[in-house]
Amino acid sequence: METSTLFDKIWKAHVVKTIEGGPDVLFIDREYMHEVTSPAAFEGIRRRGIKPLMPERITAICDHNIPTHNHLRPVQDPLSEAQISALERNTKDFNIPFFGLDHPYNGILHVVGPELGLTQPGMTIVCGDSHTSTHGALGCIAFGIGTSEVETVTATQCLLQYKPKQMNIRIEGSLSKGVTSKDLALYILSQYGTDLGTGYFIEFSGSTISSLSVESRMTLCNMSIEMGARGALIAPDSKTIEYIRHTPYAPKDFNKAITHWQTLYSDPNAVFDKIIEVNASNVPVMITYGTNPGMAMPLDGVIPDNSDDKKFVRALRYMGFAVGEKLIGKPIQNVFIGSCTNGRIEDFRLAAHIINNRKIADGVKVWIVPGSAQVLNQIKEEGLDKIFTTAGAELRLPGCSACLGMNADRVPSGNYCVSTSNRNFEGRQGAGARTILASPITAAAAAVTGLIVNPIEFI
Amino acid sequence: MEKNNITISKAVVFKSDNIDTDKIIPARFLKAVSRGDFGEKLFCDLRTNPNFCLNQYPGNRKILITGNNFGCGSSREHAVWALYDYGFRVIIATGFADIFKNNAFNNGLLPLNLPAEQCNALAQKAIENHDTIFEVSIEAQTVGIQGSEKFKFNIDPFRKECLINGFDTTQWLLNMKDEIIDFENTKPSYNYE
Repeated sequence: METSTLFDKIWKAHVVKTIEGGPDVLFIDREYMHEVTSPAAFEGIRRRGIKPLMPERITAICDHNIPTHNHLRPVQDPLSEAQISALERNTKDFNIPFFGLDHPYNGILHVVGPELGLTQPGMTIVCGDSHTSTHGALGCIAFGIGTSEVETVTATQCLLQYKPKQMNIRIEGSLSKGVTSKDLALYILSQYGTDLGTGYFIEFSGSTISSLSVESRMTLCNMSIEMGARGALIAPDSKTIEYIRHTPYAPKDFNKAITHWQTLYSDPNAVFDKIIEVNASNVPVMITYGTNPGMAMPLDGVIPDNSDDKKFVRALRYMGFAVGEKLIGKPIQNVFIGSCTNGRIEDFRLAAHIINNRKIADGVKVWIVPGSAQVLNQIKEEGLDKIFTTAGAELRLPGCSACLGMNADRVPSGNYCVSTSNRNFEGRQGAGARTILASPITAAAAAVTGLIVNPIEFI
Repeated sequence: MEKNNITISKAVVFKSDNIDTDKIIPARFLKAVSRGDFGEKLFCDLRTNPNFCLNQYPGNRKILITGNNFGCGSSREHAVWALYDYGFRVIIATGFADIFKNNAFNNGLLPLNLPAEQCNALAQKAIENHDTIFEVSIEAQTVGIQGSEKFKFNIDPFRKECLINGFDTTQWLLNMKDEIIDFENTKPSYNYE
């Protein structure tokens, strides 16, 4: 009997046509759109004299370059304002649903889509942003695309796509105390590198995945792009169903939806091109020491010696670290808790638990940036805002913020920033900024001590 | 999209793995609202160093030889635009990040994948003599030094046809608009109402 993976099942249901010797014409259920990668796509649409084919299948939000100290218009940076205005105009002209800066559903696309129930199991989802992989945690095929593909999918609701190879990462066992799915992602990256998934789509499975919350699963799928994969997905289960049930855009006939979603899993003998097995109990609290997310190590480890590699040497020089050095006890100057990787309520609860009844260390600037307006509301409802502000942290408005420094939230040159975001590339958080990727727990512990410390002592 | 088939040019060598799109063009340059000219922003944070490859290999060069996993990181198509606007038409690497590869094809830039041994051999020639002239033919699927023996490379037949003819995938799909609308109408799932 023919067996299928979860990915095969969803893909097959969306193939409009197969081109002989070429790619498939893949129908896209939902497109997310933001202000940075969409303007040139609309320029192309206008040049062709056409309209979006199915505007109701698109959701647009400003998230990448918006200020987080206030959301007043016009925003100070004229270039950002021009991009925001362009998205407002484009969505208005073409009847595309748009959650602007003052909308209660504003936030980072990859936080907002799932929390509103716009992202659902079995869907195909694209966005002109690599971290679209996040949505796969709900059991859909979701991946990032470039601007010319944004134009294509906006114009035709389809993409020409080659079916990628498939990898199964099976994770069994329990994560230790203080170890989160962020640590798990950094552990996999440290073991297998940033090109592990090139050419592949990943399915995460196993008992560890089942035990993770939907939000933690999103963190893991989010980081799959750092593993080189186009995206990752996780079979929907009862947690997924409950996560979506009370969202504003949950299917109206919810039982019918559940019946379909329950068919979405990889058959027991489904064939993968590659299988990797990970023992969750081996995963320690992780931290990065270099300038790509694969340069990660156990928090209490020492920087390995890879001096034969010129890039490695350059990375350590940039970071101001040395081979054989421990990072524990090193002073840091900035902490950023937020982003599509770790900007959900669960992440802020973890951070608040550590910051509660403590003070932010002298000289440390701490930005707490919720992933969405809804998350910010939850933070306030649960009283976490008081914990953060009493301690001396800055609670900001939602946005991509210091993850990529497209707005004013940049880390000064030479500063160390413990960041819950996804990329520690040179200059990503600001020219000369030194990013240390970690979980919200580790970041919060750094915030209250001003040092890289083992967060277990603070839990 | 402009056609791309035969490229005859000197090359630039940037022999490094995992060159990410933040490096190719930093995020602060993504604020344009139209396509524009991104060529002068290419590798702009690295170009300030006089030893950087773009400064070491001057003049109008259409071929870049690099390492593995080129174009990883952010999906920004600006990375391809910057390379293309600078004048590159072929990137030779031992591997490409997936989104970058699609973006490149969609803009008429050839991501040419070679085994490490062959890629290194070509890079070595260009390093030894910066004026070495290379020749790439998409039609013949060959790459090498002009007038010498060539290496064969693989390319998907559909992508090949699109590059050589300058076909635009959006137009290609617009031609099957009715079929797409029918598909949406007959697809029962995801409309649980």
